[in-house]
Amino acid sequence: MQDNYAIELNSLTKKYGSSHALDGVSVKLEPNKIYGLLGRNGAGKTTILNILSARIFATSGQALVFGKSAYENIDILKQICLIEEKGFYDDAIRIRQVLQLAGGLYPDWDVDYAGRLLEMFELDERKKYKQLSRGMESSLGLIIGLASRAPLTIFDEPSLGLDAVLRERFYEAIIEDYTEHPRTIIISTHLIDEVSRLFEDIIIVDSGKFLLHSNAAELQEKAFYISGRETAVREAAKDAVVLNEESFGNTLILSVYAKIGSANPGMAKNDVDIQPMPLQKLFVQLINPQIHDTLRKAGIIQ
Amino acid sequence: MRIKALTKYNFSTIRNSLIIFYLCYMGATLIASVINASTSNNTVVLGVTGKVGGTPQTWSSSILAFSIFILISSLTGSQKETRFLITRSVSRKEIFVSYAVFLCPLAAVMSVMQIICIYADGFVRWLFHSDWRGLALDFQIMQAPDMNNILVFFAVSFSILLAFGAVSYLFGSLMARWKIQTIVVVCVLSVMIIALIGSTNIIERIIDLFTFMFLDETTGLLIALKQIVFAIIVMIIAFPVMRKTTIAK
Repeated sequence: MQDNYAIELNSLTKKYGSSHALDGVSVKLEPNKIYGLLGRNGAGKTTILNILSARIFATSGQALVFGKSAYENIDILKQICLIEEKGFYDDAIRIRQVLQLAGGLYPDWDVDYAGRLLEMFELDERKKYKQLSRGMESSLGLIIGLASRAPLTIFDEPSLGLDAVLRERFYEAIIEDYTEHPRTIIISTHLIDEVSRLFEDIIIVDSGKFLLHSNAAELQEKAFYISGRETAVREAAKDAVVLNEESFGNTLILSVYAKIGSANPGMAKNDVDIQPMPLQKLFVQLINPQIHDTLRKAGIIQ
Repeated sequence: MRIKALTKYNFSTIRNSLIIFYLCYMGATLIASVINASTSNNTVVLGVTGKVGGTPQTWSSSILAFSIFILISSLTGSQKETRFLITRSVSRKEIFVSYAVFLCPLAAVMSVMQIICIYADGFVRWLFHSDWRGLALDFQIMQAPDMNNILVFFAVSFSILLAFGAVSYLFGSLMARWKIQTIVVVCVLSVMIIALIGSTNIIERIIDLFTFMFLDETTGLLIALKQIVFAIIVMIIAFPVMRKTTIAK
């Protein structure tokens, strides 16, 4: 039984007027893992991250980081590095000064690594913040997030505006650095398929509610497309939870959530084509409110 | 360590503006000195020279330096700056302490610059065979008779800046805490000023307060002490206000 969680959310609620940005979210995250925090726009992802890092206050409930609230707790705050889409830096400040500030704020800051990352992301430290393009702003955030080596590093939409080459460099850097310096990393992104290879666990929030927390590999092992003749497909999927179905002439394609192999031996034997479902497609299916009752009954979501 | 980094950052954001301000300030002071020294006494140029109570006095343009200081203090305590630091995983306590730490050396530097400007002005006048203008001829001599002492002059200037800085930080924190728009503050202040103008008694009480705070017949050090105590009280009021600031829009 894990007692020392990196993050504990207990019935976390945040209201803005009468609307709920978060509605009783509870989840516990183990340390030293890479988590994918997924959800649609306005689902409550950023609200969770902001409450965790004491940027805003919860209406009720509890958000603990390494067992304590981050609010006015300097020991906890210096272990949290939350990188957002925008840096909010002064326009006249230079990259060098931004890195100096970060170096003074995070105790595990690695100056040499920050220098190497500057080269990797092709940033000139003499440049002023106002001279940076959208992609360069993102790159600067990634450099701070990685070089901070903060025990809880959070990237909220880290790759906004980055070209494909720089995104790949970021993914490689994060895997490399995480291997050498394991820590808890949360990545909130809409580029799900692209980043999915980084995730060890996945958390899905929808409309301010916690939907699912699962091991990424296990989740993907259970999600399939089954296609073929209708009768064969339905026979193969009889024990599975059908997430969606589409017909093309005589061909039926079912999106299903099931355990292939021992749990449903019949599924693999039938004359049907079985393809793994990409994480992004699975995510889209899981947040479809029309099938939430079915998913809840099957114990797939909360 | 974190406080040091924050203070350094605070200075780095205003350093260039402050240098430009003092270059302009020093330039204007020297030009005015030359004009004043090369023409008849009591010529008013850029508000630098005037006559107070029949005695030729020289304005030190302190009000300009004070205004800039208030501006810097409000900006540092503003919503944008506080939000920025909160998003860097800095606690409100650290933001507050770093601001107080930043305020003191800034006020000291600005007070020293004030004295340097006065002496530069005096030096130019002396070069032009005009009267030596020392601290005793500065406008601030009105605050206390011992203001011609350089240490007392420094202490009073420094403490005035701290008092103004604390008040402007309180206003900045109020705006940050309740996300009050600048336009709302301007409107409310305008209404308050109009109301004050219409009420003689309140104006008298405020004048009494300012007289108590900033003027004293006997000693400049007493003025400095009162102003520092005032600054500390205002900062104590400001802390719980800024402690509840969030980054929410």
